[in-house]
Amino acid sequence: MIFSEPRFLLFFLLVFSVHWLLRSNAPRKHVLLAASLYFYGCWDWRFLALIVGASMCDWWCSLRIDAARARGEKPKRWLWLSLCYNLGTLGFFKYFNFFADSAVVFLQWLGLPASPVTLQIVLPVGISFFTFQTMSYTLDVWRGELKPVRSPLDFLLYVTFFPQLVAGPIVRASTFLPQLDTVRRFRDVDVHRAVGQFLSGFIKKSVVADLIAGPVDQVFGPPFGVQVPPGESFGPPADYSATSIWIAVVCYAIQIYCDFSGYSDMAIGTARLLGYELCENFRFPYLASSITDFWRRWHMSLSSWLRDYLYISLGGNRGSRWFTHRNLMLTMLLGGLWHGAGWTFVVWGAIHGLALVVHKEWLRVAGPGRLSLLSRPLTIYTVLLAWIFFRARTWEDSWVMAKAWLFLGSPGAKEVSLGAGLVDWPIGVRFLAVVAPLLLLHVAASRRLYEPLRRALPAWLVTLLFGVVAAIALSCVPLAARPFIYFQF
Amino acid sequence: MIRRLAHVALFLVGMFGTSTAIRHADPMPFFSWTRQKIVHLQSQVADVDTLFLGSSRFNYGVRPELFDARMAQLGVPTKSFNAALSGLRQVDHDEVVEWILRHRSPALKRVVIELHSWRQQIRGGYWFTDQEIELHTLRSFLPRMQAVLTDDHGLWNKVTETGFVLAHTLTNALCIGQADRIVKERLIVGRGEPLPKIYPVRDGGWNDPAVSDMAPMIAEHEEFER
Repeated sequence: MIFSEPRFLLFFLLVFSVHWLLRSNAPRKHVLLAASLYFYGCWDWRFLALIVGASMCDWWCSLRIDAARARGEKPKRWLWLSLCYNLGTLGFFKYFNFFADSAVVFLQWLGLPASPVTLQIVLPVGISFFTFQTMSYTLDVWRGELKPVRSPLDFLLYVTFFPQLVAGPIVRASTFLPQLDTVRRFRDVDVHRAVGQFLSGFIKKSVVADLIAGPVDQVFGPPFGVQVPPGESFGPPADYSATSIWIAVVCYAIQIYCDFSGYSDMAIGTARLLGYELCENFRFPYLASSITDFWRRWHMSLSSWLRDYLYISLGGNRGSRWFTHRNLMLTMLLGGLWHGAGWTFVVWGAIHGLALVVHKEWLRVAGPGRLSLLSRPLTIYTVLLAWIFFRARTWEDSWVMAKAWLFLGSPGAKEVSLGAGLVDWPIGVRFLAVVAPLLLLHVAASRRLYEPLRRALPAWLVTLLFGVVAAIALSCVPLAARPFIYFQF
Repeated sequence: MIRRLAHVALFLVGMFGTSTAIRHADPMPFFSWTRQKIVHLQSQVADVDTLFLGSSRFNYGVRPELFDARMAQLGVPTKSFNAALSGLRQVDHDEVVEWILRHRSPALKRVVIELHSWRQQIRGGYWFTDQEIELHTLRSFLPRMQAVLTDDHGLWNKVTETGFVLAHTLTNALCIGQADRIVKERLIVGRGEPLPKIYPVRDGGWNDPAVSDMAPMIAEHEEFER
């Protein structure tokens, strides 16, 4: 069940009605928990045991950590137990085949006999998200920054809360658990703001991301798990001209932004309608002035997680320059690996890590504010180069596309089709047709424009406009909804 | 409370009002066999005087050319057209007959209706096919629900059939997924090109064997007729 499906709407209407019909907090939490478990079970009910097991392990370990500290003992073994359980589960389900394949390739490269070992492992949806969420809770308790929650149901609801369960934002326990202790009142909910955010996410995902996926799939090839429609032509990238590859890369940048930030917006809007606040996850990342700024705006809940629990744990910038650079590289490499079990994801992380190191060095040598005019396009250029490795299906495809992106050359001559009639347009217009929606989206979604406008209009008109926008958005939704890109992580 | 309900009502007015406007601007059935048959009927067989309406039994079982030949032998020359649709049920008849008759040729004299399709039954299991979406109009919602409630299926089937009817009626009423097709068609019409035939039909009877994946079935049927 995904947010852009009609059955989610029915599911949510039911949960919303029952939740607000109940007066006290405890039954509301039970309803939300049952709904969240049902929501997760819709993918594969067998993995309910996994998510409940991981949650209970961290809940229990945190209580042990607190108890051990109260007795004056060292609580480290409970932290290790929690980390081993979480990372072991993640490692088995997500990385077993990757490491096994890599080991076989490495041994064969050394000339040693090795045969591939591949297990048919189904990746539980959202495992990377809920694992990081539960780990952050245990780490916060271990650091003494958070008191452990006594109620296992509260903790389970924090982990499984359905709006953010499968693709974030990665909510911190310190921001969510206190909300469970207070009785939510419907009159405190800014319904217009919540519905507006949900609608904006819905448009980003179902209208922009899904419609722009066509040219991306043509050049990159269809994403894994998506069937190629009969008669359609897809990939390989080597068959396409450099112009087409550029267009596909730009389209993918728009697609992944709209897909993922669209999901986050829908998650935040859904949670707000139930009276809960989730953290913002995106802040116009393609307007970033530098690569460092980009990571303050892109997938903010993950970047702050990596900063707080990985970068700082590795030593952060509390050492020499090279030590800091090493920590940055390691953090981004592991961040890349978090996204997917493949070397192309590691390269994606490496490009970002390297760019962050170069930016830090540039700031040290030249000082802040120098060449600021060049900084934005250079940031976008680097980010888009990295997206090639993030999306490409194979190494060969990545290199062909990266070469086309960097040196404007490609062995192929095929032109990507952007839609009826658009292929005949001049290249400048075609490029603008791809970029314009992103710019418009940024301007329209900007709080400086949207929020004052919403407040200036009478409430009844805003409601009516929401209805009109919802109808137009629904008419644009492809009947076969594509799953969110980040569900695979 | 009244204020909240008023806002819900306003939202629905905005949503369904806009969808109705889209539907008004694009009154044709979407793009399934119904549409193809209508296009074919309009453009190529202006002198049709006999229409066959029904479900798959007529769609695959009636050969207009054989019917016309037999009628000619009997001294009543006809020009017939097979407008039957697989899966058609009683509740669909109003819509389909209306569409067909709205686009009929001036020569039309008789309509032959297959009685087997005149049955109270919701055909579950074909979720979100073009045909299901286009047939589940708001006008047919109540007769459909009547069929669901009065059939002799078990309670669970009634629940799933209700979901089936609700989902398709809402999808139809809200024009979900139609913008892409509407824009593409407007572009084609704007260029002065004919609309593509997604399912070419031959004389309103069989699918064109050149593009159909049903050739073995057609051959088997022709063998049976011989």
